[in-house]
Amino acid sequence: MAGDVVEKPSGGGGKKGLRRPKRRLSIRIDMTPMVDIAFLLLIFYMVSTVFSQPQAMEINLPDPDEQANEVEVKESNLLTIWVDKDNTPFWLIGKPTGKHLPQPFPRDPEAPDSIGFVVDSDSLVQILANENRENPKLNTLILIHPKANFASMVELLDDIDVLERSWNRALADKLGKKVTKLTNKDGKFSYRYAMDKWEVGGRVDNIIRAARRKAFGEG
Amino acid sequence: MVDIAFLLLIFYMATTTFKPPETKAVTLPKSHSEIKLPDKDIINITVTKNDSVYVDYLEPTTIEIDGNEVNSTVRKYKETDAASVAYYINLARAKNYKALVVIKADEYASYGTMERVMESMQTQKLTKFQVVTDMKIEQKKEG
Repeated sequence: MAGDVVEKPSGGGGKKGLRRPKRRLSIRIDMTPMVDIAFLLLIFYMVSTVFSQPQAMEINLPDPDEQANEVEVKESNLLTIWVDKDNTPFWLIGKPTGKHLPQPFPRDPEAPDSIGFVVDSDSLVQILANENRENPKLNTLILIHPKANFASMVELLDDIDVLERSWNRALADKLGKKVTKLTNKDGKFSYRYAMDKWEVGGRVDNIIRAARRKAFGEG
Repeated sequence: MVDIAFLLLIFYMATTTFKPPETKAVTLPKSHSEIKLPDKDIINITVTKNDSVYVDYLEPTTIEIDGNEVNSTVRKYKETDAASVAYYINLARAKNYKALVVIKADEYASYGTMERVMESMQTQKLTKFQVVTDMKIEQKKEG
């Protein structure tokens, strides 16, 4: 038994000769199981605690004076990506017209609400890769609706970064150099893109509305 | 033995440091970036999903202890908005020029707010900053 009642015999009479009618009972409880459980819990938490280290993505904005300069780009060298207010991305090469409308990116069937790319032939990174491979002079322009989620911008810039890193890694392997030692002379790939403001209520809204109607049949 | 266990427990209770209590909970967006965030000399800009903007940084000061000037830091935490955020960043950088600007924004924060934050930083020539993200783990498909 864990607890034992221990009877202490009463001192017979004591020094003063007084009789003590009551017997004192002390109860002793064995604490070993509690200490066992404490150690088990401690060991469990020591083993299962994982500290999450936050990661960061570097962003370099262009200097405001440089950004004011307009760059002339041929229509066929311009890839435009729009992200609508419900985070649907559209893309188009060239100038959008009634006949030549932007198309949405194919969605990841496992995460239909995100831009996120699928690792197979129809995916955002593949589209970017294919278009850039076919046209090395391609410039990309990104417009994101102010009501879209910040996650859309992060995912898009991340996909661009992934593409850039995987191409540079392949190039480094081919040349037998380390990725960090690649220079522009080796043909190091640096994805050129610019972000522009989506003026709500302007022409861009009409273009995307037409594109949605064509792609999803909304009225 | 139990005494030793309690001693260890008290040691860890005394030495554990927690993240600053006033920071708002934010679900970070995911990316593949593996650059680790430095843990000192940073100016934190937090953007919650309700589009409130907070600036949080450690300002080096001197405090008097027993008549001596001791170098210490005081934590400044300010609630602001997208337009005035650059003003507070400059305030922070005036005290610590090495500080790196770090943006911790909720993934559901509206892009419009982020655009205004970035624009206000850009006009103050603050063009280099970092965005904190969670690691995106690829799910390999079977079959």
